[in-house]
Amino acid sequence: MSAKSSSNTAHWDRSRSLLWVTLAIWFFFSFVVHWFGDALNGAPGSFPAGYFMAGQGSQIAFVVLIFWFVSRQNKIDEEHGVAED
Amino acid sequence: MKLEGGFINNLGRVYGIYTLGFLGFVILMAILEQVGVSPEKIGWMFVGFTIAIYALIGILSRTMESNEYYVAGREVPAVFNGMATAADWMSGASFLAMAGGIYLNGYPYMAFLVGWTGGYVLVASLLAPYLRKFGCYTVPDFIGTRYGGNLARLCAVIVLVVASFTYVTAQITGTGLVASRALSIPFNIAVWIGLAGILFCSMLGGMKAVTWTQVAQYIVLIIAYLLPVFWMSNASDYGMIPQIAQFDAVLRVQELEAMHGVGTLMPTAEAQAEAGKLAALKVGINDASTTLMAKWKFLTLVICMMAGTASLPHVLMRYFTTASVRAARQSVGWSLLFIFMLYFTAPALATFTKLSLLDPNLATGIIGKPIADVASLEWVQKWTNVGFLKIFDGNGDGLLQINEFFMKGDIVVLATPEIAGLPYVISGLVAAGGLAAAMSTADGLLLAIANALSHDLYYKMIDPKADTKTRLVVARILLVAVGAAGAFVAAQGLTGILGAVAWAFCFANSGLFFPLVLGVWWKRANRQGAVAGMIGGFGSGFWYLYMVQFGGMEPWLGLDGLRFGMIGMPVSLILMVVVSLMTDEPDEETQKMVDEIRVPKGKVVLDAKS
Repeated sequence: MSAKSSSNTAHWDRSRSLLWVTLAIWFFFSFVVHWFGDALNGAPGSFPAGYFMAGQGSQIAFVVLIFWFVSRQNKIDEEHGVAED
Repeated sequence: MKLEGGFINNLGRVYGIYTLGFLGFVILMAILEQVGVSPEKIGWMFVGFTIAIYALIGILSRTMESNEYYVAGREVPAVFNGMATAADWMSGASFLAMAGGIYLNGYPYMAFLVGWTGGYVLVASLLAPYLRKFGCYTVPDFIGTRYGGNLARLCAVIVLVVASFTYVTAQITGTGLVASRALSIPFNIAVWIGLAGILFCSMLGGMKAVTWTQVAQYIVLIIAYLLPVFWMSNASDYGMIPQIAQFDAVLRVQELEAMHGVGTLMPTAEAQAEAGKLAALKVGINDASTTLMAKWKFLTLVICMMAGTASLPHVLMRYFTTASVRAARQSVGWSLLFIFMLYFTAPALATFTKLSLLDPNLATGIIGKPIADVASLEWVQKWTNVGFLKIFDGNGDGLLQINEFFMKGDIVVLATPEIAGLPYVISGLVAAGGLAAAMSTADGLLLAIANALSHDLYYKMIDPKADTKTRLVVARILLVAVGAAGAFVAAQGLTGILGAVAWAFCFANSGLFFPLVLGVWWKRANRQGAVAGMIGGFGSGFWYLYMVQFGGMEPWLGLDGLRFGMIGMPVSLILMVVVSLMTDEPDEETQKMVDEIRVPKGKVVLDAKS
């Protein structure tokens, strides 16, 4: 029983670290990038990078981020033997 | 239903055939248009055919088992749950209003795109898998069991009902808007027809029926959204893939904006008075925030929409229907991928519509053309007649300037096929798509409300001994009653689509975000803290909205009615933490329950308890 619960604690610690990494990336693409939207747009006539990040770029990052998070979390679950059968 | 066992295993084939059938129907309509069938008849057939399919799925999925009625039997595969969530999520606001909002308001409006997608990162990482492991039927079910006591449950029910009801009236309005246009019937009658369709999908089969109709509705709405944009992009020589081609178009639009005086040529007071609530194009396509205030407004809207996404019960409850915790998690990724298909196209749609109207080299360009020519265009007349478009020659020079052309943002998506000169069959398709988007969201919302009332209020609090049959009968009666109330409010035409939607997000995040998240992530959170957080957050948010919207109060720090979650959420967080720490920690049983939901393995917590 104690072995199991200590393994569960380790599992939760790793899950929590993964959460912080995920949220840091999320924070970057949600807020930091758009704070510099005007700078990203650059000179008139150059590629509108600020527009791209707000209209599409962040969304692409979120899709990739979720699938990455899911695969990492699944791996953590499996390694600690708490995944479903 | 006989097919059932085989149905889940054959989903790919069933929906593949359905998709081909729908495309065949679109081609058939195109042929009928060519041989001279009138646009009205084609509009009727599009709306009638799609609603009939949804109703048929609803009837085939009827059930009298509570597990099927509340959580679709917990057997929905991740990918299909992703599609259903995407339809559940993308409402009339996403389908009809978003591209129009980007068209009229430019860069600041794209905060909705960021907020409504990034929220799913929070759903996947903070909530969905844990709520699935918990095994509840409704969101208040989680709050009520995690914190214990009827008061916590009741608070959650109240927040859920207020947020979802605000949202559902906007969806029924959207349904009515599309139906009235496609069928040429008055709006307040169309609202009731829309409701009948919505109830047909959800009443007999609850969550099970709604799941399978939502998948069907997603397929219709995504085809309807993408097809016209691809068509326009290819017709305009900017490239095959509109989502990529749009960047060259953005640069071209910026040249045209300088030429037409967008941002400098403002409508005169006289013209604006004439146009009423319709708006002229006043901001450039890519005027990114430069001032601190503009940046702050962008970011606060993003925060409110994200936290709202992670607390809206009709979204969260979709993840109760998957077969496992792992599937719930994966399903969030699929949901966002399917949502992304529409959202990353929306700016392209706005851009190409703008290009069509502004570019004098295109046959569709109207700005700078003689007013008499523009006024004789068929689509201009049609939308002017219903009061969604207005041309007003302010300077009397006989030419149409940018500040003399007024429109309602909501019509950009619906009118785009006509503006770009596409055949009517595309307009019919877009109408069917808008209807699918509004209906699917309304279904999810009505179900969330009725289930919370029947399961949490009636079964858990009023009559815990009620048998399954009684409970499901009560659930259905409530569903019809709530739907009728929603249609009644919608028929009054009080709210625009988008304002009401943003309110719903702020109601949800003010009241539920922290009680849900801390319920999983902070063991120390207790009943007193949760109740204080829900009442304080929701109450302060509600008060602030009322004062700003109706009480004449000056918004604090530019936080207007769309962003009142910025008041409610901090209040909720602080109260919840302070009150929890001031009172006893939760009992051992509750703490063990929290440990249980953090581990995917094992039975769902609620089953293990009973």
